[in-house]
Amino acid sequence: MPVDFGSVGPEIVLAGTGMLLILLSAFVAKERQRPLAYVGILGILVALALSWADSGATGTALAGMVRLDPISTFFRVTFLAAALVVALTGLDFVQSRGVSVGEFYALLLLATTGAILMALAWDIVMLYIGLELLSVLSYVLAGFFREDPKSNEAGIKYFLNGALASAVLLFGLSMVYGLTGTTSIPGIAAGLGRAVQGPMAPVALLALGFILGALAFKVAAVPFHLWAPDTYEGAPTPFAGFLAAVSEGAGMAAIIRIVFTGMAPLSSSFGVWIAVLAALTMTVGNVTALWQTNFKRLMAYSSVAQVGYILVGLAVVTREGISSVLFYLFAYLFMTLGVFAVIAALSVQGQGEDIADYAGLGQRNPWMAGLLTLFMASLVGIPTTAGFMAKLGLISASVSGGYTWLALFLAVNSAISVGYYWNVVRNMWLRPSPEGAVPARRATSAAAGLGLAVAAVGVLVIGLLPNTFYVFAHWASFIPGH
Amino acid sequence: MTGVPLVDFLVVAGLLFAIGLWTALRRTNAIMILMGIELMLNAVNLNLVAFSRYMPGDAMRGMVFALFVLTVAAAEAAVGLAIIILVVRRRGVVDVNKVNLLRG
Repeated sequence: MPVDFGSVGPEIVLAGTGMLLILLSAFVAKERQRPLAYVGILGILVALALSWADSGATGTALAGMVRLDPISTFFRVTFLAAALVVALTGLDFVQSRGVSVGEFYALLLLATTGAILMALAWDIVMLYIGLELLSVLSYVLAGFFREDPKSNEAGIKYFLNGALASAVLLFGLSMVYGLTGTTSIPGIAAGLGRAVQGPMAPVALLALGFILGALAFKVAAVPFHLWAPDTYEGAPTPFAGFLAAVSEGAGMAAIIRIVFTGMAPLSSSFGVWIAVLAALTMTVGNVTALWQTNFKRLMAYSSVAQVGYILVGLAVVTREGISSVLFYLFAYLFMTLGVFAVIAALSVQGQGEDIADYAGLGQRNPWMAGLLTLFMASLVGIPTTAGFMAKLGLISASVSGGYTWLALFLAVNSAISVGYYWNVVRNMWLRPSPEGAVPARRATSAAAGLGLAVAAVGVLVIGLLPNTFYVFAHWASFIPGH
Repeated sequence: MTGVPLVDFLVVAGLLFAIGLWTALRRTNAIMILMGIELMLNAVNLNLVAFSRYMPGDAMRGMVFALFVLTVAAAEAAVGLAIIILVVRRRGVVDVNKVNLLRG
């Protein structure tokens, strides 16, 4: 049987570039590795072009291990776009810390490959391989600054929590295999359809609990979010952005694949479970964020809250819900990566990461302060930004899906979130600079400038011309079994 | 192979998983937590292989899945131990409760 490698072209390019970078960084001195980052960025661009050219493809490939359909194309494009923004905006930061740029980009590209494989998976073995590729490399990336005790701590905490979640997920998957006798996702859907009629129905629910719990861990949903603040605060800033935009998206993709498609016969149960998870996650995330003093930690709780919003769209288990989730994920990547890009760019210039350090930024560096204000406005959901249209989509999907109480939760939570975002914005524009604040240095490198521009343009274009993106998300939201 | 019914394997696997989970959640020594996680993965493999043996039809999938789990678990343990060694060298402790620069 010939293996159709062409259908996973973007992943092969990405993984190949990643491995090439590992090889090259062994031969290039650390101080001269900046060009290696450009090789990585080129690899991402080629993969992006290939997935765009391949976007019409449907069907299974690699002996039924992966499935190409609109939703997998959507996640490919989303993760590659996020990796591109991370790669552009993280370059100065990684280089300024005196570590191997080539290795960082190699790990970044391979982790992105893992995330895409999770979204393409049509078999639980492939889902697991993709998840582990993403996770294991993420542990290394979180602890990448070996000389920095905070980064070490982020690495060990992410590793211990993540490995535990993987084991729980696997136990659930092994039960599913026992119930259905197959590892292929459509086979599991058919087998579970029979199993829920018989005496094994409680076992199926138990397996669903293990799988959903473990994936909730991966996306940092409450009560499984405790690793997130420590990991975000200690990890290299560009990687914290990657965690928020790509890892969480990959977790959502896995939920759509294994829970929505594979466990579709149990859909009457998991809708309610996800709804409870969503309500808990956004409330705890937003309320805890109000007390944070470290900006990266604040963004960790903010991303927990955003996961809660995204879960609202999944809870309704309708096509409209999934479409709103996809729209949100796409819009979210630009806003959250924008914030982390600003944090990274300022910390290259020597500014601290506490919210207090941002006082007076409006006078010192109006461009950065302006961009940060735009991204935060989008995270709150102010009209004309991407965040507004994305939240509107979630609210309308949850109301028409019969979850009006959840839509109310979302609205109230958005109001709470204004508190901590406004705190940062007020600090920047209305407070004087602290003593000894880092003086203005407006110039950023071309790469960081380009990355910030992509993020800002993304936020504004999606906010002002949402139709194209609605059509894109709706096209992608078709999933088998619904 | 006769005599040992499937349910016996599942009971052992369930016990292993519970012991592993208990270890991972209760211990504060990073190495012990890692060992607990490895026990949980062994429970998974036992499950997969046992189901595979008793499954009519497409039986090899579980065994192959178990091989993948073994391989990936080895990679994961290698990365994990490297991170733990890094922390121990820097701080001199393996106790995760004493690794607490980040809080709030």
